[in-house]
Amino acid sequence: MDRFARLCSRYFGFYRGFSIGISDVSPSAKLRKVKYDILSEGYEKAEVAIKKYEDGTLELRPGCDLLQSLEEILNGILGKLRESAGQEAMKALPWSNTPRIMAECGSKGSPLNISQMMACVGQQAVGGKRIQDGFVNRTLPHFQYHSLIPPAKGFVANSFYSGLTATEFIFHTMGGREGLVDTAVKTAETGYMARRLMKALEDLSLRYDNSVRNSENTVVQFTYGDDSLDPSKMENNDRPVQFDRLHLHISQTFPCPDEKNLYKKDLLDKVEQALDERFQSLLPKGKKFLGEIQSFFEDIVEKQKETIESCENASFIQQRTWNSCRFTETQVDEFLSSALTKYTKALVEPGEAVGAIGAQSISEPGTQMTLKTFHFAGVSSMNVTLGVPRLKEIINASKNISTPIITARLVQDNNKVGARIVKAGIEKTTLGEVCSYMKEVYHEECYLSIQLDMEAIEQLRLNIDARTVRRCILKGIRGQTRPPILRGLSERHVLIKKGSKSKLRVLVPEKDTPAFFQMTALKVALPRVIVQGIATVNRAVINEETKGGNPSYHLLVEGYGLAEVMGSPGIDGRHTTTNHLIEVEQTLGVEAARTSISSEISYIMNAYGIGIDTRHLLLLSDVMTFKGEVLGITRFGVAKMRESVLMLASFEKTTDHLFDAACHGRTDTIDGVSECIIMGKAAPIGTGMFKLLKRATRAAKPPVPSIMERGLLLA
Amino acid sequence: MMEVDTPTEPTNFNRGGGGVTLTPEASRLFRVYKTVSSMLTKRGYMVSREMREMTPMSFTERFGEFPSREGLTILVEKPDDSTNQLFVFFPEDEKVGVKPIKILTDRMKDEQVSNAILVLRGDITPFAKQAVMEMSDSFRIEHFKEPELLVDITQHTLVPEHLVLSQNEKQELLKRYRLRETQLPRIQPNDPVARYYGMKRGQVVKIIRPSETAGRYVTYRVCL
Repeated sequence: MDRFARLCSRYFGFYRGFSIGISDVSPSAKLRKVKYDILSEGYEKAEVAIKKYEDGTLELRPGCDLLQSLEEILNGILGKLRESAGQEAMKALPWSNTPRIMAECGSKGSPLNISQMMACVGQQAVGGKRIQDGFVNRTLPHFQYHSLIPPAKGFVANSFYSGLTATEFIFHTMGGREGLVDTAVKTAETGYMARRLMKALEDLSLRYDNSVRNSENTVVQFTYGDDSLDPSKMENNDRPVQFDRLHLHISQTFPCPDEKNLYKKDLLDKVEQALDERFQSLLPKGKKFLGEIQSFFEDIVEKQKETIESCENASFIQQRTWNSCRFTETQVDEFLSSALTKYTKALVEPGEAVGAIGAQSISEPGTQMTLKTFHFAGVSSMNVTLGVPRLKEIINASKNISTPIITARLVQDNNKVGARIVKAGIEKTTLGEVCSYMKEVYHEECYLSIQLDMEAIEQLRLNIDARTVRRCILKGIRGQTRPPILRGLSERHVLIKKGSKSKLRVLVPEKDTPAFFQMTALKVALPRVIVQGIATVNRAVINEETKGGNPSYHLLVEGYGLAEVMGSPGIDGRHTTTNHLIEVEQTLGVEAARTSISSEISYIMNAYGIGIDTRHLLLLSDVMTFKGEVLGITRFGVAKMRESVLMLASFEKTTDHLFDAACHGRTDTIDGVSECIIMGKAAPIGTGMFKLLKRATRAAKPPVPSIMERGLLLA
Repeated sequence: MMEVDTPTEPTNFNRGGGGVTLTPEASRLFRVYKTVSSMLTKRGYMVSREMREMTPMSFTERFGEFPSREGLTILVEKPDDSTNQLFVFFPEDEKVGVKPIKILTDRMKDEQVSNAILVLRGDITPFAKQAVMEMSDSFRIEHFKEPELLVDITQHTLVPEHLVLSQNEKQELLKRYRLRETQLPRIQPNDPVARYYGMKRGQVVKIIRPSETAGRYVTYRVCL
């Protein structure tokens, strides 16, 4: 083998190998021209957008201010620039171009790398934004103050071949540095996460009654992964049998040329009968598996129907169906028994250390997640944290997360005006935003006169008038601490003008402090009074989707307060969810939180194109919730999950745990994995789970040989 | 020229759906009332059909356009045991103190009802909470805040079906898996769903949830 390997590399080296040089990435004059055209067109578009921004005529993106909208538009334009320049470069390359061969056969590099070498390096970003100002109001002294043009904000128009200008070079290093720092930090973070996960899950094993329990014998799952199948034995997409492949295999190994093809009802009846006879023992866990078999055969019948219909000549039917949808009686039998064997073989065996496997299966892909890329939750302005930081939030069960988002379904989801009204009821509106003036009046009495801007209120479809404002000033919204000056106001201090719906007076309360100071304090506090909406919500955005041709709207609410949003009029509370686990637990209970944990983790992983078997995620979410509350995989959470002192001491805060145990005279039963390793016992997991009892019959004492026989004494 | 506001005049607000226009306050109460009635049904109390199938229309018909909370009071009983009764009170106060609770318990004493649910507008004072705790031997008084009952959480997509097991079923379960009570997965007594079903310590709930891998999965949690 060794020699053969050496032979291969020599052969490649002499006959088939290649290297790459500068000539492989030199752009042709034509490509340079195309690139120039693309870039100048893009720059023009950017300039137009910047001009609009400066004039204030730029159209706002939903939920963004003017600058954010501009950045978003520019981001789109500049991103497309690099992309189209890259595409042109790739198009220009012949098939024999060596970098292209490397990229296409997947040995190293990607079209992105090639286009960076040949055409354009593209926009550099730090922290997900274009390069921010490092000097006074500009990125570098080479540019004008407040300049927003692409080159001044880190767009590298040159390629590595043509060479970067000085400013481009520095921007590129800034972007590159972030990447390096990110990988360095991420390895440490994922490593720690892996250790914590392992500690929390190490002692979970499958028992002989098919339940997953920890070393204290507490049940974590009654059936592993809901169906007690082993994730490592899955054939296809977390499912035990890939039916198409099995069908192909059976039709090749059992051609049965003499038998008749089963059609439609015959086939389905045959399958039905076989399932009833042989597969009933799989229920209830295999309910889905049985469903899959049935739907597979239904598909086959459908295919048969299509094939027959498309055949003009009846003699072709046999020929056409042969490889695609032919099933004879023997084949069905063989197919089903093979599927049954596969399923039974895929069942997890008692003793399996499902916890340890799960911990590894979740943390290993975690190390592959590079860069904390943001992702858009439908609307482009709603960023969701992803990657390792988000995974950390979930696993720690953090109370404060960086991007809490509530997705709220509307009762009437086809009506944009209705959606606006509901949105207005949720998004917080302050008094300062809806009043046209707030005047100090020093006349006999001292008071503040407030005029509500009824026109604006009407336009925004708010439900505000002088009465509601008065109530808000006096009562405030629950759960918010109000400034002391407002707490000093009583009923008779806030008056409404008779017959008016929009004018209020706020009298200065009588106190020791001079009226002027109180007036000033009022003037500061009153504009901040929330007159409508939920205080914990930052903003809400209406998201439009097309469902079957009709537009459908739902709300994306940034902030906390699931319970309040669910209760808001016009919201369909039953379909309103959040990505904040603790909030789900508090308003909907542990079971809901459990579901959220696994779906949130799989959402992150899917965003990176990583698939983790759901059974691992289910196990993790069950471990985090089996104590009745959501426990993070942190030292506090793990301490609540497990009793063993030795295990906890080997995790974190060693002395604290040992000291505490010594104080209270704790006992440790030594059945967990960590404890057993510390004490040098075999861990009760896998083959170590059971003990063997042997009936002891006392053996006859071996005869003691005499001294003479042992030859110790010389005769 | 200036007058003090009197908070009786209603502000009309179209909820934008259903066709029936309720005042915001009435629609709030209707939603709470609806949740309470489905909660009582799920707890196994006999709830009249009229209550179960109440629409905004019939709600206004029965309780008027500006329903008083006093009038909403409900008394229900278990079908098999007519002495096992439960009161649902809707106290008017923003913050319920000891005094109103005293009045309610007196009424419970008079009518020999041992269970009650308070639906609070705002909150309950710490003293009142303590008083309720002290009385827990003779009267079991649960309290919910109105905002919690606006939506029936058991209808939520994330919340699976919960069924509270009887004592016999619980013993059978423990025997089947050879478990002690403490070895079951848990649910806290103050968990929203546990409170919805009024679970007591030691009761076991059977949870039937849809499963991605098995189609349907059954698990149990003990209230501890």
